[in-house]
Amino acid sequence: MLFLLNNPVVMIIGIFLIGLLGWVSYLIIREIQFNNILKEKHGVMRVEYPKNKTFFNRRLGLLGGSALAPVIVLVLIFVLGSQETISPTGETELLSDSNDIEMIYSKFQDYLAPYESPQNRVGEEEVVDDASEPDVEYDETPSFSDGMEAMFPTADEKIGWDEVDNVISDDIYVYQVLETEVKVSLYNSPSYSLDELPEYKVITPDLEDLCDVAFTIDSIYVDSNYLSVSVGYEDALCDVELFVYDKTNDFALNEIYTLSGDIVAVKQNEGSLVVVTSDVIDYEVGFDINGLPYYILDDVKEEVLYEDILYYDATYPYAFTSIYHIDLVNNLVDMEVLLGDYNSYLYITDNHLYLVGYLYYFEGLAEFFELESPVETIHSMVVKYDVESDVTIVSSSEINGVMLEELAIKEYGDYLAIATTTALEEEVVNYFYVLDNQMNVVSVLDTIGLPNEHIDHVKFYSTEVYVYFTITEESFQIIDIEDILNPKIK
Amino acid sequence: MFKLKLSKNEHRLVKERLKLVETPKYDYVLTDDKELIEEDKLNIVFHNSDIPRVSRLLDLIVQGEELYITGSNEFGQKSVECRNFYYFLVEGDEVYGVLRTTKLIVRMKLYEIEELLVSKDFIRTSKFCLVNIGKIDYIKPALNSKLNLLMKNGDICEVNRSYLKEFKNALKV
Repeated sequence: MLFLLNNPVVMIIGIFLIGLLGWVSYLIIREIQFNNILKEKHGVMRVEYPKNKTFFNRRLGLLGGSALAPVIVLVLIFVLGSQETISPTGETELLSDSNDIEMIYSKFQDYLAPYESPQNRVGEEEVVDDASEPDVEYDETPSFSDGMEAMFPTADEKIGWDEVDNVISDDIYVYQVLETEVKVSLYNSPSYSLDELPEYKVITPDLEDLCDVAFTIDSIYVDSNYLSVSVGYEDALCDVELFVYDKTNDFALNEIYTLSGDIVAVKQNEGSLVVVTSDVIDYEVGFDINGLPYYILDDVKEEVLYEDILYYDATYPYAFTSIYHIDLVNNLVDMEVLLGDYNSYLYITDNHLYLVGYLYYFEGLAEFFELESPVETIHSMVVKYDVESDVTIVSSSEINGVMLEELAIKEYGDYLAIATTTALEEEVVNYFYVLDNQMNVVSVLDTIGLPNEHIDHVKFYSTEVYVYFTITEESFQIIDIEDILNPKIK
Repeated sequence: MFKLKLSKNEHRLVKERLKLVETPKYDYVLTDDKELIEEDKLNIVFHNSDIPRVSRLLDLIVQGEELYITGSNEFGQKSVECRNFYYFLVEGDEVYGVLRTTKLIVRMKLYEIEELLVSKDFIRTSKFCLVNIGKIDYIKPALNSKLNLLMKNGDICEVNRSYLKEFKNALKV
């Protein structure tokens, strides 16, 4: 009933159809009555009434058909519509203003209102930095316990971009974060304890004219020439501040970069930083207050344009994910913004960044039937960016299933391997995809695991992939990726 | 007009053989048993073997005496029994009596024909048409509360809205 009230057009059409059906029914009844009377009259007159009822039946059929036809068409539409999944086109949508975003969000709310909200889904904000230790040799004699290490990482493994390093060294200095300042000590010998190292300098970010609230230093990043300090605030409304100091100039402040959103990950390359921030959209206050992602450099604010925001059909428009490439040498900032989920997986290598988010397939007419669970299947959208010298979108791909585990993705040269599962659905299917550098699917395995077992975690080695499952203890499968284009289950 | 009363339980069968339609108001009682006659009615007592003859008798009773109407066409003049006319139609200044495949010009006004055929189950359907109920094949309601009468010769006559009530009453048994 609520559906009818919310959709007056449907209600009017429904009323019209009912009226049409009623009127035609009246005509049919009237016609039958008249001809029955005529038949009786002929009987009284002792006139032979036509025994051939073909014409009468045909008339009845015609009238009945004309009355029922629109109803049948409507029923067919509903039946077909209810069976057909509303699947996304996978295309990007052009956004021209805030109304476009609000319409997308509203459509999603209609479908997902009775469903769990995205932030309650499994899948934390996990990222993998695979490029920081390219020379790490993997243990070639894996065992089940190796899989467990993925759950409880050792100090040698880097999980998560935002390394939150409070103490780092470049073999010249040792940098130590002390709440609101960075202590720079001379690195003489590894045998010295941190407190014994001679102090060289203390750097305190100058936050005057910036967000005037309590702050702490989140993390520090170092390359040959620069020390970058990211500052975090208690007030979530404050921006991300990145202070860059020139090591070759006695740690003189080189530049301050102000970025909107909450910092998600930072990757330091030689002479550049790749920073990812996330900005949750508060639809209740509107975009006049929300604003769009931006950065400030040299007191000049550069805000992204609506038409430059990337949005993929059927991804949840919950937050802006901004990817910044900061050229520390030339003081240049390049920015790309993606409208999508808040909880996307991030994976970065030396030159590429991958975002993996949910893609929703809805049950047909889920809204009309007010289904408790309108989502029929969940897929993933993998978006690839080139972040070597700036931020450029390369391509994207839609794949079945979702990543439930942060280490389920790895780049092998020009190819990307990713393991997903449909564990959130009734039927469990596990996938192992191989995508090329343009995100085309070159290979997929969908027979991984035993029935009803979904992927728990994945461990990638140079020629093998260990896939661990949830239900059966010590259950795992090995995928041979010696030929990355033709992965095989061993 | 007729009521059938039988001593044995063969009512439906005899009724079909007689092609009889019983009416609530009746003047004739048909029976095979003298004990079942009604004194204030016209009674016809018959034996089952006489059913065909009784049927012909009933035809005569219902249809009444023959009435001929004279009309003419390009083939000459003809007198036709009124029940053979499908309908009478006014076209221009002429009144036509339409038969199965031909029509005759009748030198009478339509209202005169109507008065003449009042007991012959002819009914006025419009200002210009007088229809033989016995020759109606099918009634098809049309829009605007009109009726289309499909005649047995394939022609269509229309019952005007203002004549609808009278037409309905004429059909009532």
